[in-house]
Amino acid sequence: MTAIFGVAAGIAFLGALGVVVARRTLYSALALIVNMLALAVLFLLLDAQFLAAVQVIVYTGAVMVLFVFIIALLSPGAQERLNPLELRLIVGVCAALLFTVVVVRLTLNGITVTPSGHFHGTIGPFAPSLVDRHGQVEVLGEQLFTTFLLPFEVTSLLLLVAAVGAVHLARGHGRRASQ
Amino acid sequence: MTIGSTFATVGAAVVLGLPLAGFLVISLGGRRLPRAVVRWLGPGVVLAAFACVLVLLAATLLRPAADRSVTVMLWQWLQLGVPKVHGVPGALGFNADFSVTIDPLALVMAAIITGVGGLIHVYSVGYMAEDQGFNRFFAYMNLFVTSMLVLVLSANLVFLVIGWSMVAFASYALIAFWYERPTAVAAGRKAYITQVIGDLGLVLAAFLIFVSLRGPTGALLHTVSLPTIFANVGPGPHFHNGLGGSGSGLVTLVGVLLFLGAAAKSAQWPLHTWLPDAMEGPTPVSALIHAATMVTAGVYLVVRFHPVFQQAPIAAGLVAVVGIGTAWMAGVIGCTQHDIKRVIAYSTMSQIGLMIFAAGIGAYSAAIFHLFTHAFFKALLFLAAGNVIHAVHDEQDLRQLGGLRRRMRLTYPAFLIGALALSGIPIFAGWFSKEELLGSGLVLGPVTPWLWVIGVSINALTSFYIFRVVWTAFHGAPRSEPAEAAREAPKVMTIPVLILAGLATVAGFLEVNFAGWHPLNLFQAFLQPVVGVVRAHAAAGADAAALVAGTLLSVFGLGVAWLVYGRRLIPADLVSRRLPWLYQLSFRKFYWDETYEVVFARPVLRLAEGLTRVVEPNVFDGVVRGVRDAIGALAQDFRSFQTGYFREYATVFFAFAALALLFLGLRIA
Amino acid sequence: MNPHLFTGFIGLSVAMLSIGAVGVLVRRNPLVVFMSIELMLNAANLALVTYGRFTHTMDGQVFALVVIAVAASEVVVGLALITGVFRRGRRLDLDDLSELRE
Repeated sequence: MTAIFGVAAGIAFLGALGVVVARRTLYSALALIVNMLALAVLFLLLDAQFLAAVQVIVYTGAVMVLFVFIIALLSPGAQERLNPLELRLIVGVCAALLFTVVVVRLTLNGITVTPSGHFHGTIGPFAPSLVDRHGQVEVLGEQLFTTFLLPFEVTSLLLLVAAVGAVHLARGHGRRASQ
Repeated sequence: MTIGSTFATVGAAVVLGLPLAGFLVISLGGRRLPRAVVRWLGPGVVLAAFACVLVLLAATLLRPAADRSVTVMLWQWLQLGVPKVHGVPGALGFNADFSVTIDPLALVMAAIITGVGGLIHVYSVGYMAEDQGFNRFFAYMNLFVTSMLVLVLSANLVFLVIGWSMVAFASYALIAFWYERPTAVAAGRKAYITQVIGDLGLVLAAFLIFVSLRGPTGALLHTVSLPTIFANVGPGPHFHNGLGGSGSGLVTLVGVLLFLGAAAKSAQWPLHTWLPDAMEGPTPVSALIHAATMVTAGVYLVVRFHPVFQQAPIAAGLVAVVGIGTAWMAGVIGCTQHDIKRVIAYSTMSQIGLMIFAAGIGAYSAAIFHLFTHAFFKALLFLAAGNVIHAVHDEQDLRQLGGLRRRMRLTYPAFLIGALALSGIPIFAGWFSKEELLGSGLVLGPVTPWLWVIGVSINALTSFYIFRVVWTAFHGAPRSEPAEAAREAPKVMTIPVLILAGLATVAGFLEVNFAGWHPLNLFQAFLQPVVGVVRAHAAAGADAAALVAGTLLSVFGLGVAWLVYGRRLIPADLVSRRLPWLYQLSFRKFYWDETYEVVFARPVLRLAEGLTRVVEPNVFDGVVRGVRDAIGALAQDFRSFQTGYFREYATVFFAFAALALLFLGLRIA
Repeated sequence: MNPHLFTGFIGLSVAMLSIGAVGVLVRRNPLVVFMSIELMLNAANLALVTYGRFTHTMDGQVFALVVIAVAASEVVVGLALITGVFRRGRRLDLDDLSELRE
């Protein structure tokens, strides 16, 4: 399991780097797809089967296809060269390194995990074994429709709003066109 | 049937709610609301409130005398801080609910406000019929009635102050009702500014009571509830009780500040100058506000706060002296004025002065009884004068009237009854109340007999100036064309006048103890639970002598007026020729307006001019310019940061977020 | 599961977040900036699921699901905006959009 984690995490990390450093936009998109697929594997490792499926279907499937479409539409061949001495780049990288180190350090410092794989402190009722016994989707669905019903419904409304907004924006200046 | 608290709550809510609803509907309806609706709605809500007051009055009368005061909470308004922590009042504990007290005093006031007010509303339907601002007028009138009811019913200092100020505003709006007349606007402004000076006194007194009233244990109470205040202001077991005990500086200060408020409302010296100018308003306004209700609020305040004044003999003495002084001064001024409404206004000031005097010496029920009868006959005089003014097309100068007796066959007897009642001629209402009031002056305290002498001399002045009006306006030959062509007013105006005339005739009998079944007179007995009976009974002989003397002086004044203006046996300009300084003093109203002009208005204006010329351009504009220049210079320096590239902003943001996290991490680690 | 993997998951999540942030800061192409944002959202999802797994709650997964929905909406609207802005002859360069300065 540790080996699987190592490989998947490495691929995810490289994919993430690839998104930022690739010169061509299309390569960035492909690197992001790689990253997301690796992330789906990591979700499986974390006993989140349903999320792994959603990750592949929604993200890698729908969202990234949309991205590739737009890239093809707008700038199939655009390239961008990064100037390594640019102040913004240096500041950004330094801040990112600092951020990573501090947060990881804080995580190690503030949160302890017992050898049996549990946190100290409050532990929820959904142990992985229990979730597996009842079925991942069933437990998640029950949670969504009971405890998290309101956020769930609000999210559906958000999706509707986004769809309407996208249609409006895609129509361009509809008012002008109609005149 | 007894007056349960639910009953009182509903009753008070209806009494207050009806005029308020009228105000809201009429003012929000504006011009769209047809006059036919306003004509019924405006007086209707007030008369309905009056009916409700009568029900409450009946319910109160059915209770035993000791149990006639009910305080109920209509709603909780403010609840701030913790009033008591471990028995010690918190520094900021402050609770104010809208509570109302239904007790005999409040009911008498409410009955006057809604009853006389209702009649005046009916009268206004006729008087204002031709006016453009008909709806606006009734909106203001209903607002006024609401404010006045809040004032008299409130069982809470905060709402007392709110009602007090709302009354001032409604009065301002009504005085300046004809806002296209510059004089009316100026009069409204003058009245309002004077009221604000009075408000200041009342508010300061309220603050003082709030911060320094102590309970039986000597702990600060921090209360605004009037029943609690009155229960604790008197002497108690602890030496820190109340406001520092009888005659202390604190309670005297509170009394003087309260009286400042009362003096502004009741047009007492030195805050009296607004009342005559307030006659610029429509005549029904003069009748309602400047005769029957608003100006009596000062008397009500002193009587309501009598537990405070009983602890503050110096303040109470001041009240009495100012009251009698104002009464006398206004009486002298009233003799020489030419404007029919101004004469009545000065007579109001004079009569209110007498009430204030009575409240000052502790004859509370006499003060309220005179307030009660005065409301009838003074509203009657104003409304009758309004009929006259209406008939002669807004002519108010006595010298232009005359001979109206034969042209206004209903208004004339009504005005005559008002004049007789005001003068204190026997069997009319004023006689009972005024003689009781002056009689109590004679029997209370060592100094008051001297004040009584001044008081009875006012009787002569009063009957002189009011019969001067009767003879010049109604008798003789018409002295102008409008007076020649005068016609009686329509029914909607004469009927309220006649009702008031009837009341002004019979209301005095309320104070007669018919069968001697009770040690007190009727009205006195009714008010006793609130104000107590502090009247010492004088020897019957002294009482009777005072009565006879006062009545004779009234008749004397009447007779002089008859000789001068009726038979013309004494030339009218006798005083102005022989004693020109006295005449001028009276005619120029003791020069108070001029004094205030010189002492307050001119220096302030000059100061303001100086400030405009020197301080405004240099200090204020200078500061503003300086701030502008400083910000401009600063902005120039910071401008280079604003590149407009959002990713640079984001970089700075991210870098500082990381640094902040680092700082946080170091703190935790 | 090996408890030390917890640190690994969180470390990977934070690293991805930082990389995404750098991408947002340094890249001029709006599409790449957008993809970097997606990267950051994914990093957050990973952290959420990790915490949920180790505390035995479903909250993390539910939250991640909501984040995915939000990200999808955001992509739809954002891409529409980008096409709207750049369809009319603009270069695909965020530094051309500096109207904030004025």
